[in-house]
Amino acid sequence: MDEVADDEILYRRVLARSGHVKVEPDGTVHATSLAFSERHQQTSVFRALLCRNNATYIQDQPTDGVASLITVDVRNIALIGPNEQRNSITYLVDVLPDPLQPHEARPEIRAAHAIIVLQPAYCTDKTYKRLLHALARLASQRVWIISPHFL
Amino acid sequence: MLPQQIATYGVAQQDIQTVDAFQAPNQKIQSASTNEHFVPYIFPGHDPYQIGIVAVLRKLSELSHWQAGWNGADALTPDRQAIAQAYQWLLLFSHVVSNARLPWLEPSVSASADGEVALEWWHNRKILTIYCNGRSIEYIRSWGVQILDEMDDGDASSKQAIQDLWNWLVNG
Repeated sequence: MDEVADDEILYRRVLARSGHVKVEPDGTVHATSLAFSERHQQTSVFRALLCRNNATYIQDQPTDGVASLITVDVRNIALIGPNEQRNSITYLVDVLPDPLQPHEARPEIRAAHAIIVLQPAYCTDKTYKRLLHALARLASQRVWIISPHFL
Repeated sequence: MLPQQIATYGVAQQDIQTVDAFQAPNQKIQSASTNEHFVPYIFPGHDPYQIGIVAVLRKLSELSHWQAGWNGADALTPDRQAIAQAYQWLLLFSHVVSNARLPWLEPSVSASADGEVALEWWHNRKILTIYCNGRSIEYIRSWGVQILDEMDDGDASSKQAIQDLWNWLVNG
């Protein structure tokens, strides 16, 4: 399994219809922290390089937005928080390849799938939610690869 | 707001505790009861707080229609108890903010993949997220990307907590 390089761009699909996108009064559009929430404390992303830099491949619906992150920025999130035993430990945030199976995704993006994970795995819920804030902030510092479209 | 109007928001009355947040704003919301009916004391008019809260309650009700897997993966259906709890919290929040004559900002209304209801505001580089899971109401707030030094979390169920959080968000 290859490693995700620090300089790789990661795509994150953002649903336009689900309240995961917010338009501020000044017209700024950003993905909320909930747009990065997934079960099991693993956030799915797609490696741009392996999507041939074509973000449309990861859209489920034409209205979906695609935000981006830089791998090294994600890895630089140092996360200190309590584990399930309430001991304070340092978590590392990493991006790991996680190719999808044929029944899970179309061929163009199977190999590109990766996950943002905590190591060691499984922190408390609140610690994971802080990570979601950090991911949303990092994404908001970059322009949308594909802006979400509102119906 | 009449009871039948509540139904149009999609939140079943039996899911919600009887709490008139505008008459008993000091009550700390602990959890949503399933035993009683709920008749909030809201009369939409020209008050920007009430106009704002009605729009947010409408968005909240839409969560009850989300199906499992709504995120294209394995997300759970938003929890009905959590929706009911968020409904109560928003009424208390509206009361606190309007009484203090603090600015109204509309939140994004969403759910986590685990079925919690989440309300989130972004303002001047600050982010505030309120999570309702049907049992507790907690906040995460951040003013930067550093998780240790620029974020904190805690309980958001009391009137005092709401006022403190909102003062932090809208001031400075």
